[in-house]
Amino acid sequence: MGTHTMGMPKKKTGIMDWLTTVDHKKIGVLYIISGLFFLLVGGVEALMIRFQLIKPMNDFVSGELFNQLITMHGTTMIFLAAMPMLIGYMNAAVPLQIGARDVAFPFLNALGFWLFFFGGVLLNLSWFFGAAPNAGWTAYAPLSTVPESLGVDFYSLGLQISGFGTLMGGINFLVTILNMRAPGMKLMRMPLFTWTAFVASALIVFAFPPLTVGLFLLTFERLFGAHFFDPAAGGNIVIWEHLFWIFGHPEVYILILPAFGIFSEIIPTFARKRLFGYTTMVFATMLIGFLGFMVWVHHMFTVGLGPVANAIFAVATMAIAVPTGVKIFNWLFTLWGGKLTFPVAMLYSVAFIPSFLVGGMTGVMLSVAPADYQYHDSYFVVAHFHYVIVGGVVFGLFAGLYYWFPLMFGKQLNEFWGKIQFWLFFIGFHLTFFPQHILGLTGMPRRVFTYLPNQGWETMNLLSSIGAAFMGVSTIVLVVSIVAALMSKEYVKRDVWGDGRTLEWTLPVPTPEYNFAQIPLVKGLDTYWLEKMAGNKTVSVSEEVGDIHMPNNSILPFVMSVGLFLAGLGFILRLDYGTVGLIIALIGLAMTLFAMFLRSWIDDEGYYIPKAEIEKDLRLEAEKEAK
Amino acid sequence: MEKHEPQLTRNQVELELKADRSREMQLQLTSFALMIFLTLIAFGAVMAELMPHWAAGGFLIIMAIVQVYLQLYMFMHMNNKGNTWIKVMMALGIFVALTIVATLRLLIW
Repeated sequence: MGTHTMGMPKKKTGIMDWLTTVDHKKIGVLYIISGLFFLLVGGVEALMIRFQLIKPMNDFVSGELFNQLITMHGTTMIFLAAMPMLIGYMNAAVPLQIGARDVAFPFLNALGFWLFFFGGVLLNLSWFFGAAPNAGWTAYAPLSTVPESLGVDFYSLGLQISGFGTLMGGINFLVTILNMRAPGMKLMRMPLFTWTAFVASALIVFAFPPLTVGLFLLTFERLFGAHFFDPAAGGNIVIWEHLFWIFGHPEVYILILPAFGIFSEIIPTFARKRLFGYTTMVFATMLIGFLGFMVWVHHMFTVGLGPVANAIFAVATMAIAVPTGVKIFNWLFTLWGGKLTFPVAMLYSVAFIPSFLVGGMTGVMLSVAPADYQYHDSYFVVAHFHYVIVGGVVFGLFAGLYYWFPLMFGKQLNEFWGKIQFWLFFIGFHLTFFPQHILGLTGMPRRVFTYLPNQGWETMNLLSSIGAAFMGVSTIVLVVSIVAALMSKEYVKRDVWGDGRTLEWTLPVPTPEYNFAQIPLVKGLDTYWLEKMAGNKTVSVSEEVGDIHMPNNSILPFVMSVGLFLAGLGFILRLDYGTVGLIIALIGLAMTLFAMFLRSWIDDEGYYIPKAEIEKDLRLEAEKEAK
Repeated sequence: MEKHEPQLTRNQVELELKADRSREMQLQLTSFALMIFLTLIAFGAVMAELMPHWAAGGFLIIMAIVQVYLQLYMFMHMNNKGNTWIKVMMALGIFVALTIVATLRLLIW
């Protein structure tokens, strides 16, 4: 390439760098940090719930506050903790795993993050107005359409804004994975985390529109006097349930598939074996994603849709156990005969298999429609979905955190404290949720803020609350461990685990902003491992060193998101404060539109990092390796 | 012995390209005319009131499917190479939408 007129822009530093970044690695860090923050918020809510239920007739919180706590616990954990952290790992790992220099749409990526973040802030702002959403995380009409409770407005608009962000993330990763792979990275050579990220992104693209529609209906019903869910005016409350679960069930797979992907990276790494049945893993992932769209009515078995509808959806639900079972066996066969070591990431992965299996089994039990009439709305259901979401997704989040922390931050989490954290969490998790199966089978309903003594529920509730305390302590250990790691000056070397199999471990630490000085040439599945077995220290490259084209930083995604946040807040406040709210809303909308105009008007062609700079980096890296 | 491929001169390449483009243009114009014609038929069928309501409805849906096909394949270059994933995604989207609409049609309305 010749000389480029576009010079290097002035480097931004400190907070401005984080607000304007379009670098997928930094956006990944932002996602993880905010996800962890919301995980703590949701965790505190969970502890308050369990403290209230520790004994019969407890009065730690009122019934109203309890409703707000369970609503916000569910909403926060799903939308603001689990999903953003998984998208954070996708940002941190997927472009590196496929040998790309960035995602397909870096600007959109930043916009997606800030929309999620401000949506989450808007939702949690409701606490400060004394009116958190209280209609359950599912917000069933007509409970959610009672106009007096301001909280559901925060729910509908907060989720709407953060949902826009997620949708953008999904589109971005689909295009990135299809179009930005390095030479030789055929689809069937992609690491399994990339595959699951791909399928989860497709699910996001198809599942979020029904949620968007549902939330719009809810918003219009509450703020602008529409009657979609009002039977007296010809509406129908079941429409909300359908729309919510058409989104809600694929959402479960949006969460669990990337977690499956994380385990499928970690288990082969620490078993020093190729993933058993790679092809079946890929097809099982696709099949789970596909079937995930045909089972939503199993959340509505007791609505009264009739035996035919229930039977069809029950059979479809049971079918999902087949590809999931295939995956479980594949992980077991990968472990079989491997040279196993057990760092914390691997402990979580191995602990995941039996824990998730229990959740899967109770899932098949729940899918039997007639039996579901018995389990419905009891603690058995609570136990089931916490076994799949904590035992599956949260174990995955923690495993991924320990596994990729060195990649993201250049430093390692302490393994000793990590093991303590793991055991506390593992014991606490089973102690909390296993007794809830029994509580459910002995008839304790979910979503009650207290219960009477002498119904045989005291012991199990006490055990469950003690377990929650274990998980709380474990989380404190994790936070201290993260802070300590970030403060330490000990940087790790390249390929920190020593047996990295995929491309992200070939990169120097910390990863340069352009990721790959030369785009690699991929020779097969686990290409780094193949090169290692062939006696090479690093992977082959597919191009000469040259200038690298990079996107410019931009503050516009931040401005657009603040604008939408203000608009949402204004429309909510309009009900109570009238004109003031409307003015805030209009200012917010104007900000967003103006930022969109600027984005379209200004030609931003990015900049080039000159070849000399990259050669210098390569030389320094070679010197560091030689030492 | 090295086999010599017939070398295309620059002029020839340009001519081929031009011919391609004009074929493409012809196709676009033909399909455009076809689509307008099909739209007229659809309108006409309803306006002339030749059919009972249910038949007109079915006829319109068939015409709509034909139109979508023509639009996608003639106008929006879906017949070109490299569109496999777009096709897969669209098929999935249609499938999901149909499942949902069919279920809701049976269960709610």
